[in-house]
Amino acid sequence: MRDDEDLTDLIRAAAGGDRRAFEDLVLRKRDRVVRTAFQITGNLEDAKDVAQGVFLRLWRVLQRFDLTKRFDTWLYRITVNAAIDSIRERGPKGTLQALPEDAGDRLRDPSRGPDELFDLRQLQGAFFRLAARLAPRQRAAFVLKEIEGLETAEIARALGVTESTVRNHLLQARRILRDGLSKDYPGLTGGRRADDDGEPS
Amino acid sequence: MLEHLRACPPCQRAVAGQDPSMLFGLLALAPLSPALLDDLSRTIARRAGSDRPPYGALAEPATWPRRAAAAAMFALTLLSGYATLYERSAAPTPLALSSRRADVEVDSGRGVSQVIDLTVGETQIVMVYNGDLKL
Repeated sequence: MRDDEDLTDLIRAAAGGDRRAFEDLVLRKRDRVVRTAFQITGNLEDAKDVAQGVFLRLWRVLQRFDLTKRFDTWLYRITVNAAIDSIRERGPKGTLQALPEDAGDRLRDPSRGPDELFDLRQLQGAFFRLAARLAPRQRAAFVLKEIEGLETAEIARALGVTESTVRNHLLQARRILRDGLSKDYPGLTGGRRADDDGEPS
Repeated sequence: MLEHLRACPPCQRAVAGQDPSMLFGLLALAPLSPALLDDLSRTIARRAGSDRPPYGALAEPATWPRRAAAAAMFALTLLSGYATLYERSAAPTPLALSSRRADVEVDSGRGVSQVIDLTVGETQIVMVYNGDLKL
């Protein structure tokens, strides 16, 4: 609650032209903006450009923000739109970058242990490779839901669509990713170490 | 929760057995380069300094179509004002309407006590008052 009040004060001050408040706001929100843009565009440089554009736009239009609304939803909306625009600007090759063939090798090998399977760098490689098969809005919906942890209603507001459209995007995205994981990364879905009989805790 | 999932192989397998795509939720834990984030902050702070005029809702910088539209409106206003003034000063003096007036003859001996004969613009108005008329 205190955080929300602090955030509101910060937004109000930044909207009034207080640059220091704005810089604090950037500091607070930059991680999620960059992470969201990165997961949607699949490219760190693009994500940085998107984040820069998002915050500069924010600086210009912050006075218009309705303080009764949820700031993060607004921020996600601007970020997702900018990230999708960034993908489209790349033209016909506007898909996530495919990683080199060896990048996901450890994920493909069922003989390796699960502790290695979920090395985040490798997991990231698998996501980028498989998410390239998703439409931009499906990708955005999946990122907001599974990585950013937003509720369906909030994703709908961020994407400017209905909740049922979000559910549909998520359904399609999960199916494509699941199929891709089963086919290309059996180590994730079926690989078990023979010496590991542990039960979920 | 995610930290636990990342470190717990049995839970990982349980999630993978249910819906492996949910494992991508672990990417929320992927760290971002502090150098990249700091560089981003610096760039934004620098550009924000020159990117926004210090006033309220009108702070959006005018785009060139807006400026062009405003200039066109201003020019149009000036031109129409000038044209109006020019027309007034150059307009020919109206001809004497008396030369085109209709001849109205009123027999004052038959109850007519008042005659008003005037011209408004190009319209000639003749009002006759006859007290003997019973309407």
